[in-house]
Amino acid sequence: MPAMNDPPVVGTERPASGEPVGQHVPAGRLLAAVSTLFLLLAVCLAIGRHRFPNFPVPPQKPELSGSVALTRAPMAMVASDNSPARPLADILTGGDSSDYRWTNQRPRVQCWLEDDGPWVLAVDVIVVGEVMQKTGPQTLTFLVNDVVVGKELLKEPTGYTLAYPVPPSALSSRQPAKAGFDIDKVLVASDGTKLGLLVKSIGFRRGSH
Amino acid sequence: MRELAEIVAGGGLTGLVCINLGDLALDLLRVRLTKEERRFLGFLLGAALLCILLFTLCCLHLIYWPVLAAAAGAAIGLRYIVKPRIEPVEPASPALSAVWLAVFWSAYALFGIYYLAAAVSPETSPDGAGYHLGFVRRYFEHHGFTNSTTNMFANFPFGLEMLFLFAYAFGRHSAAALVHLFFLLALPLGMIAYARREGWPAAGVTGALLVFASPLFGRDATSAYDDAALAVVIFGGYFALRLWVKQREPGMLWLAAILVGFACAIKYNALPALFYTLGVVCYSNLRNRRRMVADLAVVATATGLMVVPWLAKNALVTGNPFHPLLNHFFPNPYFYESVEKDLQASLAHWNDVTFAEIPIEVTMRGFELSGLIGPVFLLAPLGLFAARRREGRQLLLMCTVCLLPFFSNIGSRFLLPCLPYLALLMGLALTSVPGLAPAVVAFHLILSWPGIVTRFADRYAWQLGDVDWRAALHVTPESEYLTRDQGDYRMGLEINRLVPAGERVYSVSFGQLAYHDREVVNSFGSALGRRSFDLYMSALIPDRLPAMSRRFRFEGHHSAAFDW
Repeated sequence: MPAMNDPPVVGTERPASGEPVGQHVPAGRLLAAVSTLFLLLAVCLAIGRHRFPNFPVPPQKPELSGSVALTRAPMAMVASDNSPARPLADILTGGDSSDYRWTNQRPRVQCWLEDDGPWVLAVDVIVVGEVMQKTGPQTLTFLVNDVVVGKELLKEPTGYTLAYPVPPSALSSRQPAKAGFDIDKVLVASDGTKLGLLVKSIGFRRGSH
Repeated sequence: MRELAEIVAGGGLTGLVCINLGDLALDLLRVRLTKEERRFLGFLLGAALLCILLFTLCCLHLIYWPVLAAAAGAAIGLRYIVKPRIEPVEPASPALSAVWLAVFWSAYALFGIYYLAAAVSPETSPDGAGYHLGFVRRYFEHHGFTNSTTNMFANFPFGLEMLFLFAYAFGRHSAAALVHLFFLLALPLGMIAYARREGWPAAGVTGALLVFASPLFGRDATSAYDDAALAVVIFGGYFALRLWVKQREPGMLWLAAILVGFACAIKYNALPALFYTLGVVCYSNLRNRRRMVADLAVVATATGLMVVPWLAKNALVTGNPFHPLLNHFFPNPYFYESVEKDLQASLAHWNDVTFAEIPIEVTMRGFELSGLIGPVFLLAPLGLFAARRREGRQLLLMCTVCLLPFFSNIGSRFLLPCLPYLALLMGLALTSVPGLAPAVVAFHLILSWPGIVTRFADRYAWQLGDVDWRAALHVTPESEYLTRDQGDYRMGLEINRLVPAGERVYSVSFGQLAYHDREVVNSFGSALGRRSFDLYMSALIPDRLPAMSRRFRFEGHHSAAFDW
């Protein structure tokens, strides 16, 4: 390993060596050249700037940038803080330990979509045995902007991944899209809370033409 | 890649203008420095001068990128035309051994690349995107200062933000963060130059690496914050002051005073360093009163040049030169003294962390006080052994001076200004035992690497974490990255869309002003915000609910009022 501190020279002032500062001159040229290069680059890029407006004209439309998370994650995750979908109603809060959330009777989320589609409404849910014992099979009616896009009878207490094409008329110029489902029968807990089922995600993914 | 080119060009040009200006000014000051000292102190001096220039341009509302480009061209041209005068430089101090050099440059390159990638990534830091760049953006868009009385942060001194503004004009947000990183990149070189001057270069390298690899320094310096730069500028002022004590060159005192003044213009936390400077000047001239007065005048003039403009701006805008502080002495309608006291009380006991918990929290956990400096700093008491030396005692004194503001805000960031001195003290102590310093440095480098930090720190610790290389290279568009990672970003875009220009938005947080246009009034940032908060809380907190209703009748008029 390296030697420790070199012999200390504390308290001693060596005489000036006479080494001229003029030796910096070549370095000065290099500094000037590099600085000029950066200046030219910055100016050229600033002249042809396209990334930012010169002055902040408030945008009339939200800058959704197209590729939101929807193109990265095929489904908007309700149980994620980074989700482009925001729970609107009837989805209970939960801890970090689970990806699933309890719903009440009419869970809804809100999603910004970059265009009118085609999109597919996709949900990932679990029907809970304890609830089904009390309610029997549950029927889910899927809606986008209050337009019914599908209906499903869930007979078994298990997980379901369901998807329904969304008609363009349900989305046309109606942003943000409000999506979700209605449950016909729910369990009413002793404290009055309505428990429907467990939901992992409600969102949209790209459909095919 | 064009975004990345703009960021590198904007940040790089700002750094180079600082170097050119500083080099030029050092010649005017006629100070004798080694090459290493000249590079370090020159950069800091140039930054201070650029700050003054930008302040002037902001006052004149001349912040246009062509104007800034012309100023940069003038600085570069002037530096090239004015040849350095031939003067003797200080003798070279003991050289570093080849092994120490290899260790230093390897670690410097490794962490440096990592930091660079983090700095050029889209700016998402809470305060950086919140207000440091929020007001920079407004100054740029309005071509100069804008008055704000509804956000307390608008009226802190913005010394470093002036440099951010220069970079922002060409490269926007991340270019500003890059400028902040330059200060951290300069610090180890300055610490080694200082240690070489004192004759213990190995201790300098040890201290430099302890600071450079510290997770908190890395996190802070790669964001558009100002704490790392504050620490570096204070250290530069201290370095120049120690050189002045040795060489007694008038130019060196000017240099030290300008840097201390610049530090005060970055953050009020540098005030103890100013008092230290004044104390050293007085102590050094005890036998010569006239000389003392003259030197004190130099310090007052130079620091005044850097600080007074900010105080004057505040006095004009709010009526309180120290806004948002000292409202008891400068009562004004924009900030309540009671809110100031509430804030001070909460910051001094942040998250109810006790003094006994602070060492572990700031070195290993990093959540409650927002950031960790690294477990190796638990060995800091070893630095006391270095107090056997005279220079060690000076370092200890300066470390204590820089520690004072920490007791008013126990956030880990407020420890950064004292870390260079602490690290040098530790370096001195560790290098006195053969083999110990390299082992501790290696241990620190390993523990500070991002993947390792997460193994012992709190999961929510404020630290860099893994770099998203696609975001760093701007393959992922900035807006997409921000949309994905920043919950407030989309909300702010919605506010832009829904709220008419010129209207205010009340929020419990201060939002991301760096990306959004509307004026956000938060709960604790102004008198208006506090009144709004109280109003809304009236509906939520039982003992604030209206207790009775009273109706007053006047002849010809009706008026009703609630008695709370």
